[in-house]
Amino acid sequence: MNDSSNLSSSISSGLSPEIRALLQSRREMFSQASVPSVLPELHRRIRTAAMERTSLRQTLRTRLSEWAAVLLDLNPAARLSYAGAFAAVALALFVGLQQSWKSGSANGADGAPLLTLNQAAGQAADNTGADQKVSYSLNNIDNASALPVSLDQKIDQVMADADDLSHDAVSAHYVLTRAPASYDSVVAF
Amino acid sequence: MPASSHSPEESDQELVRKTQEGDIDAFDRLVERYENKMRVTIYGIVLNHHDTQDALSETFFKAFRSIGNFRGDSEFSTWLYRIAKTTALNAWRKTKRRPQTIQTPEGDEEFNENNNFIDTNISSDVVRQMGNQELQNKLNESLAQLSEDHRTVVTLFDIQGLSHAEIAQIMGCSEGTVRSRLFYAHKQLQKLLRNYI
Repeated sequence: MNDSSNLSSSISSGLSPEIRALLQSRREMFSQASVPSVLPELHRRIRTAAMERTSLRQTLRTRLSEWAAVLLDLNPAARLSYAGAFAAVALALFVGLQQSWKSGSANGADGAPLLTLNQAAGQAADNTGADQKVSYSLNNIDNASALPVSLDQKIDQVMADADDLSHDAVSAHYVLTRAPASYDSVVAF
Repeated sequence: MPASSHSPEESDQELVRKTQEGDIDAFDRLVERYENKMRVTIYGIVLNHHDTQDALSETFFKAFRSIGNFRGDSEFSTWLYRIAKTTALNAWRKTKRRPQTIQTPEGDEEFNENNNFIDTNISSDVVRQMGNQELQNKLNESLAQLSEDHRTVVTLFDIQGLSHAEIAQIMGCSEGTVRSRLFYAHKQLQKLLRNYI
């Protein structure tokens, strides 16, 4: 097949006719040789694979029938208790799955109730002030429920907190307005 | 490669269809039809007879298991060559990991002793036979020094006589790539065998 084109290609690519002949002798080498056919080995492999598949099915079937036979040979009380246990497990599984499905469909991934798109849009609008600017105070989790406060109010709040601290012996030093007389020596020490 | 050229009675497609319907004899006929071509191709890549026989059996076993999925998008021969190439390259990689040389392996010596395949017309010329055998060994050594892609392309083109288009389909690359690989492979082979031919 394509011998003439192969020859011209071989010549143009610099492969000498001797090497080309040597390469082609490979084809003849196998056609003349008494090499054993692959068919017996192939049939053996196909049979083995089929038997492995069959034996796997057979094993499963045997195990299941053995298990059923053992179950059927049990006395009625034991059979009843097995059946009861099986029913209890199946019921627990069913109830668990149902609960999981219910909570999954009602809540989001974090367990919070799911909102409709309109509800979410309404909440987003609440964060917008009269001047159509968004208040970022809600982004602070500590002040999540607080309304925007003025700077004076914030200073008052801080001072009030400082007064509270001053009653606490441990943290009193945070609110001292002036260093004690021995401050320098203490620092130097 | 037209499928009808392999058999006047049944085309590859017909045998494939029968195999897909569970006729194992039809697959046997496909094996008989392609066994030698696949053996030569695999030997060209793995370069020893023992691994060739194993890879050949593996190739047809894989083909038998997957023939249900063969939809006839390409020729059956192209599909089979592709399986053979992949299986042979896997065998070659395994051989390379084994601590042994590829030159004159035991299986090959036995094969050569049992088969006067080199030139049946000059079987009395022992000296020439030995010379040819040495050349075959040198060819194996040289082929082993080529990259996997170069060796495969030389096997399919120079030994099997496939066209660039068929090789491109088998190797999953463009015809230009096949030509380029062939050019460099030939150049390297010429250089490696310069002192022996």
